[in-house]
Amino acid sequence: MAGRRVLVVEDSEVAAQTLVDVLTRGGYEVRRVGTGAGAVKLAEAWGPSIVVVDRRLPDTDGLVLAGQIRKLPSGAQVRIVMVSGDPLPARRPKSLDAFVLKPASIRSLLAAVRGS
Amino acid sequence: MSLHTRLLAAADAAVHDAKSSAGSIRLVLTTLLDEEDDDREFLVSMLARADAETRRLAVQLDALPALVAALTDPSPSEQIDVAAATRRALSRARRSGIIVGGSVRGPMHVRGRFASTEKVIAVLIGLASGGAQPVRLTIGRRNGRVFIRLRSDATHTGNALCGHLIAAIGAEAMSAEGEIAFGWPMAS
Repeated sequence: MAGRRVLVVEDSEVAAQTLVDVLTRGGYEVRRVGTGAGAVKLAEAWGPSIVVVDRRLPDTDGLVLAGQIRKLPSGAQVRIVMVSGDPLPARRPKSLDAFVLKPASIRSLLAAVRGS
Repeated sequence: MSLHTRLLAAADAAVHDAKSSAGSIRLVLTTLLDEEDDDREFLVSMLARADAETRRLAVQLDALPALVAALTDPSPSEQIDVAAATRRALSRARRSGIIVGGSVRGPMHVRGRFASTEKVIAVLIGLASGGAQPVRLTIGRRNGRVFIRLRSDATHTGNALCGHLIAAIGAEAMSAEGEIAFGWPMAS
């Protein structure tokens, strides 16, 4: 089941809940947190295979969080998908596997999660 | 921090919050467009979410003129009765259809600008309501400070615009989960 574990790191209640519902209906095991500090703790304890992270979080930058998750013992294997209203720099940071620009469709987000 | 820098930061926060709401609404709508099952309960819950987020977006946009007015207010900072400003803000919020509970006893003196403070407190009440939910307002004194707490079932603490609104009236944010709270040192 660990391969179907998705951690959603998003402080917007509606966006997070919608993503949680859609992924759960798609057969994923999903947990959600709204802060970077909570995400690091949960990623370490729960071991998700996929992390969907918002760029702007109340307590940190999503890129910093992605780097922290990469440094966890199982962090190198995690698929990290960033969602942001701001475009990324021309060269995508190495910590990210996929990037989705807001406002995103559910289809583009799911494709990024699946890596398809 | 210069006015130019503060305006840019406030505009950035406002755009971020508006994009976040628009992004949430698009996520809901595209979920429904892709939905193949005839699940009425799911459909209704998704539409309710989009409805709530649309109301939230509207109150965020309502807050922008008050934010710009407060940041550019040329009047001098002076001793004001923030309880009186809050009573007027309550009246303003109620006239725009927001249900607000709580009473305000005063006077309570802080340093600020009366007109800007009244307008900003009114829009903070709107933000706390999420555009739809009844708000509970508490105002009081504690540890040499005057504080205001706003709470409803729809209050989100993570709104970036709130911090700029609170700073624009010379107050400090004191928010905990599910509330908007702020305060000033009591004026002597």
